[in-house]
Amino acid sequence: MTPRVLLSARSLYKRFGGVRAVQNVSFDLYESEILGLVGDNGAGKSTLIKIISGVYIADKGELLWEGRPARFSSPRDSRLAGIETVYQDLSLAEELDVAANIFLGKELMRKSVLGYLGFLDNEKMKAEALKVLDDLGIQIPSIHTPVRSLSGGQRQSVAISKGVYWNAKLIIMDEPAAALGVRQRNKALALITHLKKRGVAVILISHNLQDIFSVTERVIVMNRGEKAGEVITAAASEEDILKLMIGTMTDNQKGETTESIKPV
Amino acid sequence: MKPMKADEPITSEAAEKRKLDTVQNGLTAESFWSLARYQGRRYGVLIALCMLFIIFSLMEPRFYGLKNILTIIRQAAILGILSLGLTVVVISGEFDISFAASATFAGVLSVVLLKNGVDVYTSSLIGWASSVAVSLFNAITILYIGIPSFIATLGMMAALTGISRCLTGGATCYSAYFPASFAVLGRAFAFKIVPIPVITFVLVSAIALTLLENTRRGRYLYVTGANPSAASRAGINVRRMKLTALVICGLCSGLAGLTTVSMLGSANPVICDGYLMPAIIGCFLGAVFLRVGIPNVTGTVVSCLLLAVLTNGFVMIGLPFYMKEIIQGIVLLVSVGTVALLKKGRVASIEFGY
Repeated sequence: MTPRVLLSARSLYKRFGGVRAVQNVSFDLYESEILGLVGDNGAGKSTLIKIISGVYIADKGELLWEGRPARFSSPRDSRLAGIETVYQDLSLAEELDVAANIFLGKELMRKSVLGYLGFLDNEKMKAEALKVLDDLGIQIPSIHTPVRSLSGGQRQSVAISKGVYWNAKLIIMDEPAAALGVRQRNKALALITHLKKRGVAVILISHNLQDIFSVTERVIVMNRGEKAGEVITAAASEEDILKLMIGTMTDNQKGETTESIKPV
Repeated sequence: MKPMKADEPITSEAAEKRKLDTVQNGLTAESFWSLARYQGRRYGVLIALCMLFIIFSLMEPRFYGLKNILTIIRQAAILGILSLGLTVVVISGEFDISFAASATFAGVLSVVLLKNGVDVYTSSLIGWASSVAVSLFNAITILYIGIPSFIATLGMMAALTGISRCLTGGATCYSAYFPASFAVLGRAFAFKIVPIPVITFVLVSAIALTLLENTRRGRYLYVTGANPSAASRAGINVRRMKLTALVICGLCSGLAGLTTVSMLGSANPVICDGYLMPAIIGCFLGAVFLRVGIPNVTGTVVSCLLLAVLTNGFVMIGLPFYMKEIIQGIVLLVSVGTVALLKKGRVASIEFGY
C-alpha cells in the first residue's frame, strides 16, 4: 500500500523586512513518516515549521493538508487539523500535574450541572492520562507530582503524550533532545519511533546529526532559506548532509566551485 | 531505600518520590525521617499553630477561654478575607499592595455616606462598589498601561490613603445615630454565639477553595501566574484572568472594610492599615503550607489563624507591643526564605519587573 501524502508544501516564501527567511521551499510529507529537518542557524527551519503550525502565514506559496489547501491563520487552526508542535521549552505548566497538562485548555468537566459551572472531572482526566502514558510506555513516578519535578526526558514525554492524546496526525518537534542527557535522549528517540507505529508523522528539527540518523527516514536540508537538498537517510552520509547545509563549497585558490550533492 | 544523591533537589516533590519508595520498599528508619521531614514541611504551619496555642494556653489560662477564642477568630476573619483576596492576585502572577487602603476607603466612604443620611444598604453597596472601582483602575494601570503591579498599586495605596483622610477630615467619623442594621456585619451573632464576621470568613474561604481547586477557571489562574506564555498558547486569556483576580481582591477588600467599620461603629483613615503586613505575611506564609512556593487558600487561612493567635497571645502574656512587628518581619522572611531555598532561588508569582 503506497503511503499517502499528508502534508504538501508548494513554493513557500516568507520574508521579514529585508530577510528572506524561507524561499521557494517545496516538499511532501507522507503519513507515518519521520522526516528530519536540518540546517545551520538562520537556515529557516523554525520559520518553516511556524508556517506549517500556523504561527506565521506564508507570503507566497501554499500548503496542502491531506490533499486539500490549508490556510492556518493561528496555532489553534493547525491543532484542530491535527498538527501539534512540541517546542524546545515544551509549553508545559510546571506547577500542574501530568493530567492537568495533557488536558490544558481542553479540560474534562463533570457531567452534571456542576460541569456547566466549570467544575473539573479530575478523576476522569487522571485516568485518561494514565491510559495514554501506558499506551506509549512512558514511566512517570507519580501522576500527582507537578511536572516541575520530572526529569527533562519525562517532561518531553508528557508534551508528546499531549499531542498523541488529541489524535495529532503530525507532531513537529523543535530540538527535542537539546536539553537531555544521553539515556533520556535515547528514550525520547525510542518514543519518536513508537509514534510512527501509531500512525503519527513526525517532523524532527535537530542539530544533532546522530539523532537524525538514528530515527529519520528522510532528511530535508535547508540553507539560507532555501531547500538545499532532500536525502534518504539510509542512503546518505553525515558528510553529504553537512555539505548540503554549508552550501556550495568554494575552492579559494582557483575560484572553482565544487558541485553540490544533487538531491536523491 | 536509596540514599539521597548529592545533586538531588531538596524539594517536597523529590521527597514525595522517596515516600513512594518507602511504600514500595517498606518502612525503615531512614525513610521514616525523610517522610517526617517532608510532611513536617508541608504541615509545618499547622503544627506551629497548634504548638503556639498550647504554649499560650499554658502561660495564660485566660487564653483558651471561649470569649478569647472567639476574639481571635474574629480578628482572623477580617485579616483572612483580606489575605485571601491578595492570595488570588498573587496566584495570578501580580501583586496588590493597595488592598488595605482600599478596604479603609470602602469603610470610610460608606460611613461618611451613612452619616450624611444615606441608608445603610445603599451606603454599604456604594462602599463595596468603590473597592471594585479601585481594582478596575489598578487593572488598567497594570494590564493596559503596563506599570509593574507593585508600583502601580503602591501609587494607588498612597492616593487612597490621602482620599480617606480628606473624606474624614483626618478624624474619626462617628455618629450616635447610626441605625442598628449597621452593626450587623461586624457585631451581630448568628445562633447566639457565632460572630457574623466568622461566618463571612468561612463562606469566603469555602468559595475561594472550591473555585480555585475544582474549577477550570481556578486552574487557569494558577497557570497564568506560573507560566503566562504556556497559558496563552493553551488558549487562556491571560489579561482577563488577571483582571478577574484583581476584581476578586477588590471585592474582598470591600467586604473587609465594611465589616471593620461595622465592628468599630466608626471610621477613621487608618482602620484597615494594621492589616497590611499581616495579610501579606498570611499569603506568603500560606505558600509554604501544603504546596511549597505556591500561594493557596488553605495555607492562607491557617496562616491567618496563626498570626491572630500570635498577636492575641502576645497581648495575653504581656509582651511589649513592638515585639509583634519584629516577629511579623521575621516570620515573613523565614517563610519566603524557605520557599526560595526549596525552589532553588525562584519564588513563583513574585516578580517585580522594573
